[in-house]
Order: sequence, then C-alpha cells, then structure tokens
Amino acid sequence: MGRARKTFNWGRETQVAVEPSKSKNMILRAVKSVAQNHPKASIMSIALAVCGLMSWLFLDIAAADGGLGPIDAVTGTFFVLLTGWLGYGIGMSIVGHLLPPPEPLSTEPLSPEELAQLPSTAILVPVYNESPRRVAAGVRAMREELAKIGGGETFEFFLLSDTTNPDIAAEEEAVWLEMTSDSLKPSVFYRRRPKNIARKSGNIAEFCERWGGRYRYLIVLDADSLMSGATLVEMVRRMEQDERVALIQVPPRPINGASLLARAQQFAAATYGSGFLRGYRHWCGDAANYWGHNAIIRTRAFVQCCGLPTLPGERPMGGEILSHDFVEAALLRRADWKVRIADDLGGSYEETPGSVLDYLQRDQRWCQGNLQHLNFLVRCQLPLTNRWHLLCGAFSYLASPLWLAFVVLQLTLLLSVSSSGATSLGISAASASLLLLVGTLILLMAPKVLAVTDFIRSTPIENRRPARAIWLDAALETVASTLFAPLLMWFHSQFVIATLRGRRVEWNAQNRGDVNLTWEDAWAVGWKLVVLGSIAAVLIWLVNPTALLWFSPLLASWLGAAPLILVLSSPQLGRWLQSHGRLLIAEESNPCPVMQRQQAYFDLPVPSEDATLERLVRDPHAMAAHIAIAQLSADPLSNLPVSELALSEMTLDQRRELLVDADKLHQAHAAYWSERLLQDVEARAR
Amino acid sequence: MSTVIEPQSLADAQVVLARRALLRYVVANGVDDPEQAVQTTHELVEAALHQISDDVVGRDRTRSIIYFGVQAYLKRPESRFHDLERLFAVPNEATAPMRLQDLHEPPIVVRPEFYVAAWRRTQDVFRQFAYSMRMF
Repeated sequence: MGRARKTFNWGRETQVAVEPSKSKNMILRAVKSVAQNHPKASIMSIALAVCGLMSWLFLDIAAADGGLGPIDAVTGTFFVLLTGWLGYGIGMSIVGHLLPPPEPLSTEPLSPEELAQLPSTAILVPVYNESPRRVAAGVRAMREELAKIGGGETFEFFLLSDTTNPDIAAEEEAVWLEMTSDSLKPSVFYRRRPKNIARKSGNIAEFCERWGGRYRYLIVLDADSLMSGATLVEMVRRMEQDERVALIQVPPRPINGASLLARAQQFAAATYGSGFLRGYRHWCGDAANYWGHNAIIRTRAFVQCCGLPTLPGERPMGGEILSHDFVEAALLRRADWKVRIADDLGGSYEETPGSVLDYLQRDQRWCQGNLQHLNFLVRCQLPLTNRWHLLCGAFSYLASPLWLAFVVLQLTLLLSVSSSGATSLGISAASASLLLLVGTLILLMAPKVLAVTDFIRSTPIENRRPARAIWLDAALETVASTLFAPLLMWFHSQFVIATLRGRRVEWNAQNRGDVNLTWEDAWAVGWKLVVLGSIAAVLIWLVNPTALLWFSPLLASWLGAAPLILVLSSPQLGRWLQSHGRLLIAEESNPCPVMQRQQAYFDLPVPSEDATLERLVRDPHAMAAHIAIAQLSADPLSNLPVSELALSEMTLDQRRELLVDADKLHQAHAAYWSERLLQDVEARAR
Repeated sequence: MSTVIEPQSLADAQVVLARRALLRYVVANGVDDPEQAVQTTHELVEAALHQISDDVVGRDRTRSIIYFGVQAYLKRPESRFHDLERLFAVPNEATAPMRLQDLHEPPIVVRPEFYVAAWRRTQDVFRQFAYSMRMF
C-alpha cells in the first residue's frame, strides 16, 4: 500500500500510549503479571479476600460479647453478601488498573472509497416522548460527521418513534421534515408506531421485520446518544473482522450534565471508569453484556436469537421483558455468538438524568427490569457468565434492602448489647469496630485513589488539568456520592419491596434537561427520611454516643435529605461549579467535533411557534405531510358531521386518535377553519 | 374573464358569506390563479350544499357550507403533500420475522442426588478447612 500508518483519536478520546512500568519494585511487577495472566482468578481472589477478612473481623466483634446470637448470625450473613459484592467491584477495579491500557489504535481512517465498500448499516434512534429538537441535534451532528468522512452511502438513520404524546409526535414530524430538507447523505427516515407494543425491544423488532433485511448491521442508539463518525465506522469494521461477533458494546460516557449530581457522575465515569471497564472486559471476554444502546448488532444474529417472548404471570415479574438488553446478550451467547465490549473505543456518549427525582424514576424502572431477570437464572438455559450478569444486575438493587436491614440490625445490636468484650485480636470490641470502619473506608476509597493516580499518570499533562485540581474534584465527587448513597439505599429498598409486592411503574420518558426542583418537591420525597434519621440519631445518642461516628454519613444524608436533593439537582450550582473549573471533564474543556456540532444545534433559537397537534390540525400543509408520513388514507366518500368538539376540549385519547385517522383530522381541520373563517367574514361584513 | 352564473339557491346571504370565506381559504392554500380559485370555490360550495339539509339555516348554514367545503377541498389533489418521494425513500423489504425464543424451558428439574452430593462435598470442604486451621 505504501501509506504510512498513523495514530489518530476516535472522537475526543485521547488514547495514550503508556510506557511499560519501569518500576524496580518486584512485588508490583509480580502482581501485575498475575493480574494480566489470570485476570478472572485475580478478581475473584480479591473479592474473596475482602469478603473473608471483613466478615471474619465483623463476626469476631459480634462474638466478643459472649458468642454469636441469632441476630449476629443474620447480620453476619448480610455482611458476607454485601462485602462479597463490594469486593467484586473492588477486585474488578484493581485488576483493571493493573492491566495494561489498550494499545493505541494504529489503523488509519478509511478513505471514502473504502467506506463505501462497507456493508450497509442502519443507525436506529428509538424515541419515546423525548424532546425532538434535542434528539435531532445529536442526529444532525452524527450525520454531518459521517457525511464529512464519506460514510453517506454506508449509513442510514432511522428515527423510530414510539411517542404517545400527540404534541411531541407533531413536533417530531416537523423537526424531521426540517432536517431532511437538504439532500445530505446519510439519509434520515422517520417512522412512528401508534402503539408502543413491547416498548423499545418491540420498536427494534418491528424495524427488523420491516427493514432489517436491507442492513447487515444495526447500530442501536438512545434518544440522548451521541457517537463520533470515526467510532461508528470503526464499529462496522470490527464487526467485519470476525463474523462470529454478534454485538459490540461501546461504553457510553456521560456528558452535557448541568446539575451537581450529573456532573459528579460524568466526572466519575471519565476519571474512574477506564480501569473498571478494562477489568470488566477481561472478566467477560467474548461474553460481555449489552447495555441497550451505543452498540452495533449483526442483524441476522439478532433476528434469529433475540425475539423476546412475553413471560407468563403478571407484571412486574411476568409480562413483557422490561430490561431487554441483558436478555438479548444472553440469547446471543446461548447461540454461540460473541458479544464484546470495546472499552478502547472512545467517541461514545450519553446524557444522564439531571435531577435526583429523574434519577430515581429511571432507577425504579431499571429496578423492576433487573429483578425480572431473576426469572431466567434458574428457569432457562443460559451461559454462566450471562447468568452472572443477570444476577449482578438484580443484586445492584437487592443490595440496598440488604444494607438497610443490616443497618437496622446493627442498631438493634447497639441498643441491646454492650461492646466491652474482647476480640480474638486481643483488642476491645470497640477498637475492633473502629478498625473495621477504617478498613471499610480504605476499601471504598482504594479504587478511587488508584483510578485517579492512574488517570493522572496516564494522561499527558498537556491534555489534563493540574493533578491538584483533579484530586480536589475527586474529593468533591466522593462527598457528593457518599451523601447520595444512603438516599439511594432507602429508595432502592422501596423499589425492590414495591416490585416484589407486584406494584408496576410506568416507563415514562426521561428528562435530561434542566429541572428546577422546589422545596415542596424535595420535602415530599425526603420527609420520611428526615423522620427516620431523627429517631435513629436520638436513639444512638442515648445509648452509645460514640457510635454516631459509625452512622454519621447515613444520618447526615437522611437528616438533610430535602436540602441534599435540592443541592444535587440544582443546575445553577452545577454551572457555578463548572464556571469555577470544578468537576470538569476533557469533553468540556476540549469538546470533540461531534459534540461541537451538537452544541451548535442546541444553541439554535427555538422556533417562535411550536409544532403541536394544534398547528398540525390548523396548517393544511403540516396535516398533508403528516397524512403522507403516517401513510394514512382518507375515505373519499366520508363526510363526517360538523364537529362541535374543539381540539382544546378533547381528551388525550381523542387527540391520539386524531393522529392516526385522516378523516378525523380532516374533520377537526374543517371544524377549526369553518369557525375561524366565519368569524373573519362576519367581522368584515360588519 | 368568464362569468360564473350562480343558481338561485346559491345566492342567499349565507352562501355569499361562505363563498367569501372559502375563497380566502382556497387562495391561502395553494390555488394561485384567481379564475381557478373562483371556479374551485364554486365547486366546493356546490359540493357542500349537497351535504346540508334545508333545516339548517342562518349562521349554522354558513358555517356548515364552509365546513363541508373545506372537507371537499381536502379531497382534491391540490391539498396533498407533493414531495412523497422524500417520505418513502425506503421501500418495505421484509426479512424473516423475529424468532421468538423460549425462556422457560426446560422446567426446573429436582434431582435429590445432586443436592445430597453437593451437601456432602460442602461438608468435606469445611472439614478440610477446619483440619488445616488446627494444623496451622
């Protein structure tokens, strides 16, 4: 070929080659060698060591008062499970940081001619009542990137709408018509299902049945997803390299966060995420998981393996499968397809909920979906690693009621038993408790410290902020997440109990924009915690004031639940921190081209008149376009009687019906104009 | 300019008002040629009058003429969306339907001997562990 090979960045991800460690420390080298050669065994060993040591210390303390009682036994069981879970995460993170970082991508970008040789790929953007202009900003940015690098003929976008709100549906059409008014390639198509059967999985399945045969690959995005053109191309190229790969998941990185919560999460993902993902990739191998978006899928494999049945029994445990992604990955693996995670690819982004309430709403949905997966652990043949993924997904919510029960039992023990006995270590139970607390803190902090150190060491100084600023932000993030964790524990416990009691939640659209909560909102959600926290604090103070130290993070979070919710959700505070250089990520200080394009579309002035159902009914051109887009047919012989019902008086169902019935739309249009024109000519006649 | 001779039935005040209104609607929605607009309006009024019974009088009659006139206009080709090619660039090309997977087979099989063996093995592990601890 004769062309020089060069390294280039995928989106804004900066892939940095890290020199092999020159440390003379033989122990560290040996540890790294073990982690690299036996990553799974290393993760398990760390998890077991953490769990074993902590549990032993805990049981030793519990037995110091004259043996283990029934409450000790129950508490001990919970503690073993929880520290095992904690140890698994710590192991993944530590091993991930000990593993070598991914090789810099040394392939050169494809020429437009080579790009045209790639198989046709559909980029699916399922939408459900999201802001159409926000979704369109991302799609336009990706489309322009692909057009620029010559991917116009290879890729085609599909906006797959399941929107049920008639006004948003009308706006989606208007935005799409606006977006496709140019002749730019890749093309963008729009389809709306009047009924969102089986939610997102049904949306994708319907696409596969209608158009799947046209495309070898599907790239599934979310309404808030954003991917760089180079990453989209590389995903297709990697699929072409191994025909047994059915799915490649590119981990999305959170961006565009305004609130303190969202900004803390995006900072955590950017700073701590890489090592954890590296460990996760080595843990999974070719049996990775699917996270529902920012992934490429082989259409043939998906169609053959991923038709999801309706589960027997009532919702939430039965009925439609709510969190389809984990199950689809398991089904692909069951048919011997490979599922991979490409943590070395950057240029993959998503947005997170802004306010605590939106975050909790999303978690409630996920909780139901993940607990439903417990169905599959024993009842169907799935690969072991996928069963583990399903179990982890469920346990990430089940852990909360376990923590809560553990806290309650600890309180009971504290109120009923003195801690004056001696442990087998030769120290008092009180001292051993302090040791356990310090050990727990070290274990919780160690992965973060390791991650920040690794981040600072592996990022060239010209591409990052000063180390002191990063450490300061890590401390700020740690405070925010430490205070948020007890809130999550409480709410997750409620979600788990509600799910097990058979209570359903609706899967509403997620709000990713600015939300300004009021004191009333925060108090309505947090008052129970304030009451519980007050009772617990008084009881502990009366019985054992020194134990307040143990419970201080929990009590601080619960007692201050309402202001904490407000502070974490505040976009003003988040922006203030951003303007003062706090919790910044590389994507903000130096945004990649696709993010710049998206931001440019965000900044466009909003049209003076919103595209709503009212406008669609009023404007004959918009109505004609809608009838054509939705492929509705009007009955040429129908002459519906004069409607006395104004659009503003219609129920939501009647408004939805309008969108799928051309005759009724004509009726509403004629009713509007007959009244309006009559008033007009009467006024002129006077 | 040709003269349109209106039948007597169209000449009452309500019809005149309705004609004016419909003319405005037709001109605003795609019929640019004035003569054509007048002709189209005439046809719409005529079509509307066929839908309305003689019992409807006064303001309701005017409103009904406009209403059915607008409905009649919406059935004409002038009111349709013309750039259809842009909307339907992707032909339907069906692939095989999604194959539904069975997630509930085989049923849970209870094999007592498996659980007995697992229990014995667990006891062995604990016994060996206890023995090794004593040795330590």
